[in-house]
Order: sequence, then structure tokens, then C-alpha cells
Amino acid sequence: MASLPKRIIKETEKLVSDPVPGITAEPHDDNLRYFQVTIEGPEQSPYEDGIFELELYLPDDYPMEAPKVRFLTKIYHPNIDRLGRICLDVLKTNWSPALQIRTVLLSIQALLASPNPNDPLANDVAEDWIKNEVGAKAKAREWTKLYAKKKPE
Amino acid sequence: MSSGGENDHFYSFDEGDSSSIELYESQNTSEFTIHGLVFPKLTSVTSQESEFDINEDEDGVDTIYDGMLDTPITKNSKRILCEGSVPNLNYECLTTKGIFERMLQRVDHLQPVFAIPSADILILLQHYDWNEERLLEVWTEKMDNLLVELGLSITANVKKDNDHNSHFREVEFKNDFTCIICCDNKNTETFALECGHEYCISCYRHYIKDKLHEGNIISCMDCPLALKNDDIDKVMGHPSSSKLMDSSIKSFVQKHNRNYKWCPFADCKSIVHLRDTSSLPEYTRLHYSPFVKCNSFHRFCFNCGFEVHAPADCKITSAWVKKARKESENLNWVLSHTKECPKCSVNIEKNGGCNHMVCSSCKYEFCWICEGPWAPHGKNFFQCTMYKNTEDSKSKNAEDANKTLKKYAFYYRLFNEHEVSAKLDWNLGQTVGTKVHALQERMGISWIDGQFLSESLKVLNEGRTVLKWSFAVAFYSDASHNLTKIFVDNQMLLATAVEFLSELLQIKNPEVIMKRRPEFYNKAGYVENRTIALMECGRELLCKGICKVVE
Amino acid sequence: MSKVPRNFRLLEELEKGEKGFGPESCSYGLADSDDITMTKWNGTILGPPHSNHENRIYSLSIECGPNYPDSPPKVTFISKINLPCVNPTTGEVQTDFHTLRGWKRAYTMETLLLDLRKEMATPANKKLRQPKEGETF
Repeated sequence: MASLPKRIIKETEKLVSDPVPGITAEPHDDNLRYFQVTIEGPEQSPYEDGIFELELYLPDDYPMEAPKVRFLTKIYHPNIDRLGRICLDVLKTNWSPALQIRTVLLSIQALLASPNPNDPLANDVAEDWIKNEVGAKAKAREWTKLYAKKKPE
Repeated sequence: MSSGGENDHFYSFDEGDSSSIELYESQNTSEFTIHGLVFPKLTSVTSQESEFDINEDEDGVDTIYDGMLDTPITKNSKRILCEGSVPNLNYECLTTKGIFERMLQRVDHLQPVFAIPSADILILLQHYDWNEERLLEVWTEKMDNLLVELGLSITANVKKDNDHNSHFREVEFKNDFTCIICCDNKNTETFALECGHEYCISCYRHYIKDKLHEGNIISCMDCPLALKNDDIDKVMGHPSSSKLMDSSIKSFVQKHNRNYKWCPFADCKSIVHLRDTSSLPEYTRLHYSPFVKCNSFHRFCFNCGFEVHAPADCKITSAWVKKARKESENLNWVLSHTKECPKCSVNIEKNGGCNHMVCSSCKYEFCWICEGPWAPHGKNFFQCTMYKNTEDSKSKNAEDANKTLKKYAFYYRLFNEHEVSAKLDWNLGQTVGTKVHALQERMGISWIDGQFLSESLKVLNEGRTVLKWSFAVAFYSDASHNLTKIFVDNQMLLATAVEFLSELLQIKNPEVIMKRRPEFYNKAGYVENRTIALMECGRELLCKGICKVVE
Repeated sequence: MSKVPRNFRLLEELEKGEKGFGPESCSYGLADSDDITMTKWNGTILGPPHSNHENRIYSLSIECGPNYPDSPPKVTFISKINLPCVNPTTGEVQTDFHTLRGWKRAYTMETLLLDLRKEMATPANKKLRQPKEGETF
């Protein structure tokens, strides 16, 4: 593999030495651009007490191009589809090279805290969310229990 | 696309007629087929015309640019299709650069209203897709807040305690600079806006380069402060902002595609602007098509963006093209340049558009299209345009489908033959320039007197195009109707005329050319008349509903 | 060039398939749109013209294991077909089929389907007698 850009090395070091609370990100040994990620569900959201697994990949053009991120844990959320793909502006048009892996992961955590059913990726979920927010949140809570890892007490 | 392998079997179009057309395929699909909307050959040929010009209005380009900014000179659509009841189309031909220059003028005009630098107004306009009204509306509502929003207000966007002592908006050389984007520590040029977000020049260039094609405002990597065109050029080290403006104007054209159309010819950068589109429905109603011509002399339909397709209207054209695309998988017979002489099997190359072939080896004369002897064509020209709809006694559904396919195949092949011929005619056109030159040199003919050659070529080409599209009309027409028969007769007449003219244009000897000059005039005039007749007849088929798309 | 991990690679292929950027003669998509591992896929091949496969549509199943795209996927015809590279009882494409045998990381499901289609059109195979249309393995 081509040598790893300094930027990626620095970010990786910082993620280890100065981790973001509630978030872990570790590169795979055989591909240092490919990260195993976990995000804790934000408190007071339907996802609280759950730990969600994600995967993140830094494409060749990173940081000019945004990282690619996907949920590996099933999640009921209007901006995340059944394959775990995420609809988030900073991953697409609003990406800037000044953003980092950690800022992206924080944005995803924030997305869990405040879903945006008006800009949906999973249309059925978004519809449910708009029509019956209480029910939708209950279902999200239920899925968290079913599929996400439990946060240690 | 090609299914690969050996495509050498023949499909005989056999309806009990011994002189039936053989349908065959070859792998030569890339250039002349209509799937993929390519006419690269035509374009590249036109662009190569240096020593002669086959088109009339020589100084048209200049006049249009001179007068463009105040009162645009309008061009009138060609006579042939606008006779009778449809109003002329008034349009102009522009480029993104031309449109941008107009926008710059608008900026100057607006400057007193905004009382901010012109470069800033340009950014405002860019953000609102060059929609002045919209911008003025938002401006009266938001005023300075708009400037903050779009990263134009420096005071609002810059931190107070900015003790940065860089020269803002200037490329600077720094020793031992650490760029937070690439994390490299090096001696490098850097750039920063008033916000002080400073990055090394290579990161900045990479960042800008990726965004130039998007056409949106480019801001600092870490805050909303906008980079103006000057800044972009400074960072890139060469005038790159024109690329950004170009992308932005392109999106403007895209958003106003009712009035602005790109010339569909490959690599042509012209935009045709039709201010008043109110007559377009009338064109459609009467089965005319609004053909326009860009400054590079490419003619196309303003309605469907396809090449000139008379006598077919846009509906027939799109149905035909769709069908061609769909069938191309199954009927991948596109025509090669060489054929074997039906008599002695020597390979013959078709090097002009004329379909009258003479084998170089055994002198056998035959028709390129049907491979039959040429002699009968002499009297009853272009038998080949006739689809013989012989009744089949045991016609079942499956056979019907097969028959439709064969009927389609038959017309598609003719269509294609003329497309190939048209292309070869253009090659012929290349030599016409040399011929005109030879006339001047060897015969002392003045340039202007030699123009009959170029004129004839142009007529030939237009005739060929009409003939080509007439097969699409024929395919969708009720073959049993009398008018269709008349249409087919008209096709034959034009085909004959076109072949004669094409043959004339293959003459190489300047003396012979000059001697036969009256023939050029005669034949070209005849082709012109036959072209109009065929177009009118096709339009009548459409108007009377004899030709229509049946799904 | 860095190595795109399996899942992101499959997402790229999925998007290409969904948006219909691929060729018209073949298509493919996820068998189960809930399958977060993206293992099981469906494919179709439109029989090449001028062969005994003309106008037939063949269904296949494709299994992209955890080592895809470093290792080739497992491909099985669902529609019955008579081809030397296809196991006549199970429909599975034999692992010695040249595209599978010489598998490269850059190959995709599309490469595979197109190569199978080419295989149907080779002079040796295009005239092979084919089972009745609509039969499955």
C-alpha cells in the first residue's frame, strides 16, 4: 500500500490519545484507511443505552473528499437507510477539508440526537416519524434494545 | 455494447422477392449509429474547414458579437421550413463567455444600487443563478445580512482578536509552515483570507480545483468567507476563475432551458437563445420543427435538441431513436465501409456518398444498398426505398412481430446507409476545398466563381439528411395509403437526385468540373426542390395522421 | 491507490446498479434490501443476439463472501442453461471459468455477468441446444 498521508497518521494518533467521549475509532491493521467505529446513543434520545457499530473509510482523495461512513448496527432513523447509509450534509455537499474524522463522528452522534425527517433517506421511516412521532420513537427504542450493544452500567 | 465475436452471418430480408435486401451486421458501431446521439464525424469535419467555407454568411459571426451586448442581431430560421403559416424564429447564438460578459454589464449597471464592490455583486448574482430580480428582492429584505450569509462581510466573519499579521488575500512564502489540512511542515507558499485560516498553496489549489466545476461560491475551508475571482486566480497562479464562471453560467443555462439550448453537436460550445417561445406550440401543431443554426453552422432542432430531422417531427424522431436504441442489441448491423463485389468478391471500399458502385476489378456496376445490378436503378431509381409488404398466408402473431422487426430493420438499414453516405459526403467536402483551389490555380477561376462546388455540397448534405429521416417517417406510415405511395415516389426522386449530385461532386479533374458547371447548378437546384417536396409530403403524412407512432 | 474495503466497494456497485449506469444487457441488485452484510445478490443476463440464447433472460444468484472482492463471488444460474462452464445439475458456474479462475480485485459483479454473456456467444457455445425457456435448476 502507498504510504499513509501525514494528515491521516495525525488524526489517527489523536483519536487514540485524545478520544471523543462516547466515540471510538480504530483503524484495521491491514488497512489503515479503514476504521472500526462505535458511537454511543445520545442521552435522552431513543438510542440511549445503545452502542452502535459503524465503519469508516478514508478515500484516496481524503481530506479533499469526505470520509465514507456506514452503520453496521441496524437502526431505526429517518436519515439512515436499511443498509446503514447515512444522509448527512457534511458527508456530502457540506464537506470541507478542515473537518475531520472526529467532527464527522460527532455530527453523526448529533444526528442521532435530532433526526431530520424532512430530509429523509429512509422514506418509510421518515413518514412514520412525521405522522406518529411517539410511535416511531418507541420503535427506535425497541430496535436499539434488539440490535445495539448494551452500554455497560 | 457489442456482443463481440464474429458477426458475419447474414439475415436475409426474404419476402419471396428474389431481389430482396440482405441485412447484415458488422462490428462497426461506434461512429454512425444514432444510439448515443453522436455526430462526431460531422463536427470534426466542419471544424477542419480552413481554406474554404461552405456556408453563406461569412461575416455573420462578427456582426453577432459586435452588436450582441446592446441589441442582439437576430438570425432568422431557414426559409424552407418556415414558409407558410409558422412565424420565423428570432434567436441568437451565444457562448458562456458571451453570456458572462453580459452579466458583467449588468453588474456595472447594478453597482449604484448596491454600493458594494463589483466583485461582490458578481458573487451575489452567481449565488442567485444570475437572476437579477430574485437577488434584488432578497437584497431589499435582508440587506447586510445577505452579505454576512454569503461570506462577503468581512467584519462579521472575522474574529476580533485576530492577531494574524499576514497579508490577506495575497500569496505569501513562509518558512517552516504547518498546514492543518495536509499536516505537513514545510517551506511553502500560503494563502489566507481575512479570517486568518491559512493553508499551504498546494492544499488550497487542490481544494479550489475540485470546486471549479460546481459553479457555486467557493468559501474558505474553515468559515463562510467567500473567495472572489481575484483570489481564485491568485491562488491558482493562472486565470482559473473563468472556469468557475463558466460552470456557473452552465447551470444558469440548464435552469433556463426553455429559452436556452446547448448546441448538441459534439464539442460545440454554442448556446442558442430563443427569447420568445410562444410560437413553438404552433410549430408542433403543424408538424414543423423549430430548426436553428449555431454560429458553427450546426443545425439542430430547438425543440428536441436533436439534429435536423425533417420531414420527421420530434415525436417520430424520438420514437425512432428510442427504437434504434432498443433494437441495437438485437439488430447490431451497422454498416462497414467495405463490401464484396457481388460478382467477383473483390473488396470494394466506398469512398464517396454515391451508392452507384463500380467494381475496380470486374467493372460490375451495382447498387451499394441492395447489391443488385445498377442498371435497373437507372430508370426506376431507388427501388431500394420500397418496402414490399407482401402478404404472408400463415401470418401468426409471432411472425407479425418478426415482420415488424424486419420492416424496421429494412428502414433502419436505409436510414443508416444514408447516414454513412452523409459522412462520406463530408469527406468529399474536404476535397471540394482542394478542388476550388485547383480551379483558381489552374483555370484562373475567381474564388467566388468556384463557390458553386461548396454550395452544391451543402445542398447535397441537406438533401441527404432529409432523405435519411424520411425513412423514419416511412416506417411509421400506413404503407397501404395512397399518400404514402406518393411519399415513397418522392423519396425515390430525391434519392436519384442526390445520387446524381454526389456523383458529380466526385469528379476530380478541374477542366471537367468547369465544363460541367451548368450541370452542378441544375442538379443542385433540382435536389433543393426535391428536398422541399419530400419534406412537405412527409409533413402532410403527419398532419393527416397517416404517419404516427404506434406503440 | 488504496484498497477500498469490501462493504464500501459493494455499496459502490449497488449504487451503480441502482442508478442504472451499467450496461443494458445485464443487471444486478441486492437479493434482500435489509441484508446489512450485502452477501446475496440477484443478477440477470439478457441472452446475446444471434445465439440460441437470444431474447431469453437468465436469472442468477451471486454470493459475495466476506473476502470479496479479494476472492471471487460464487455464481449460480437459477434459469436452466446448457453451458460448459455451468454445472449441469446445480447451475453453479464452475470455479475454473476463466473470469473466476483469474479473478482480480478490480473485477466486479458486472464484469462477471458480461463475461458470462460473452461466453454464451462464443462460436463454440452459441449453437448449443438449450433447455426449454422458463425451466430452473
